[in-house]
This record gives sequence, C-alpha cells and structure tokens, in this order.
Amino acid sequence: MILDEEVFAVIVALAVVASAVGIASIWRPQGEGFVAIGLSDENCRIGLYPRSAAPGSNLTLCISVFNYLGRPAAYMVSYKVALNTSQLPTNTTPSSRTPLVTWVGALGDRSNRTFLVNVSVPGDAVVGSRVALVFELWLLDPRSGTWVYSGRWVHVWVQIVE
Amino acid sequence: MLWIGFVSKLRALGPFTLLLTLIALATLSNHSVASQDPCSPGALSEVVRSLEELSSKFVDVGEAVEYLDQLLKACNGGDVDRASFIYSKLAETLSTLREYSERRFREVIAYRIAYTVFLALLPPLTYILLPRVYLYLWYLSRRRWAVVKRK
Repeated sequence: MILDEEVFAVIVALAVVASAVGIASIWRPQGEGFVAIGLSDENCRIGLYPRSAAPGSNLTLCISVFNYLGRPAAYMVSYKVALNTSQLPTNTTPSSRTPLVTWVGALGDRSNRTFLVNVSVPGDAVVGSRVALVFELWLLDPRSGTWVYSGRWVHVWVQIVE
Repeated sequence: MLWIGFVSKLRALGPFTLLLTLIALATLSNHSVASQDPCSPGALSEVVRSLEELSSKFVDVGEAVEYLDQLLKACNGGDVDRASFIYSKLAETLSTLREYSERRFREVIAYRIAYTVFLALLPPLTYILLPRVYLYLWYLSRRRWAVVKRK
C-alpha cells in the first residue's frame, strides 16, 4: 500500500497542530492564582458537622488549606465566633470579631494541608441562640510585612444548648 | 555627596581612626542582621520574598517551605529558641539555593528553548522526511521481489 497525498497531508496537519499545542503549553503564562480553605468534620469528611454545642465545650473539626498562587505562601487560619450574620466575613472584609485562636503554616505552590483543630465554644454564649464558628484564611504579604485577609473563609452554625 | 564628605573627614582623622570606624560600622551592620528577631514580620516577610524569588527561578523550594512552616509554628507557639534555630537553618538553606538559582534558571530556559525548537521543526521534518522514510521502508520490504515481465 502506498500512502497517497491526502493521507500525508493529514499527517503533516496533525504534526502542525501537535507542535503548536506543545509550544503553547511550554510558554503559557501562569494562570490567576488562588487560595482556598475547607472545613470538614472530625474525621475530615464532609457532611457530619456539629449541630449543637454547650457553652465552653470543645469541638474537633478539620481544616484544609490549598495554595495555587503559583508561589509559596505563608498562611494563617483565624478562628472567630460570630453571633449573627452581620458578623460573618465577606469576600473583601474579615469578621469584626476578635480571633480566639490562630494556626499558621507555609505551603508550596500547588500543595495543600489538612489538619485537625480543637476549638472551644465561648462560655458566655447564650443558650438557645445560634453562633457561627468562623475560620478565616489570611496570607502574609511579604511586601508590607503584614497578614492580609485572603477573602476566603468557612463557617458552621451551631445551636447553643445546655 | 554627604557620604563622600563623611569619608573625606574620616580620612583626615588618620588611617587608624578610619580603620576603627570601618570595623565598628561592619560590626554594627552584622549585629543588626544576626540579632534580627526570627519571628518579626520583617524577618518572615524577607523569607517569603526569598522563597517567591527562588520559586520564580524554578528552584525546588520544598525543603525551605518546610522550614518556614516549622518556623511559623514555633513563632506562633512562642518558642523563640526553636524559632531561632530553625531560622538559622532556613537562612543556610536559602543561601545554598540562591547560589544554585541562576544556574537552575538558565538550565530551565535552555531546556524550554531546545524543546520549542524541536517542536517547531516537527512539521517541516515530517513534511520532508516522512515520504522519504516511507518509500525507503516500502522498497526495503520488497527488495527481494523479482520483476517479471507480464506476458
């Protein structure tokens, strides 16, 4: 069987496309970086979050932090308790509440870390009310030398019971 | 200009005084770096900046990131002694990586350029060589064939 011109043309066309895609993938610019934070239960699984807690009790939760910024990053997870929705953080502003505990660490690019945290529900929480356990993700800005809120947070609402 | 004026005044004081002053300045300069609090925002920022710079030059900063992680945890736990120890190891690692970074950057860029040239040559090479190689193999596989004149 002798290959005819059309078959050769198709093979050359495939070579051109493969070459273009290969070169583009070598020199493609870094995409927009992002960080993320996740919250799961004490077994580090999604779904079985605590629904109620007594004032002053401890809860074990699992935090996951993801770094896809395209560079190493130093992070801080800040734990706060919000008493109502107006005290929750937004994409641009952190919660106005005072941090109760912080966890810090460093992550390389395209890496993540999952760790258990033991947080306490405030002892002065009113029985019958709902509070949000808020975990905010902050990043160390090496230019200003300060911790900057990343705009990422997770929270879980719990009912305060006796 | 101010600096030149300062040096010329020192020179007027004599070589011995100048020597003593330079030693004192060098000591003070070293002291400020060595005695830097490893948990201060400035020190931590400097480390992160260095890691970003090295990472942009394709250097594997995994070990240094691990040290930074330990340093941050030690600082957060208030363990200054451990933080100082880790900081010194981290500084050592960063210094080693910096020496290697330029070569690593050149290697990666050279590899990318070579790979790009190879990929760019792929279509013309296919166009030129594929028919020739195919025909060569075609004739090779039939070289034992005998040609018989059709009756």
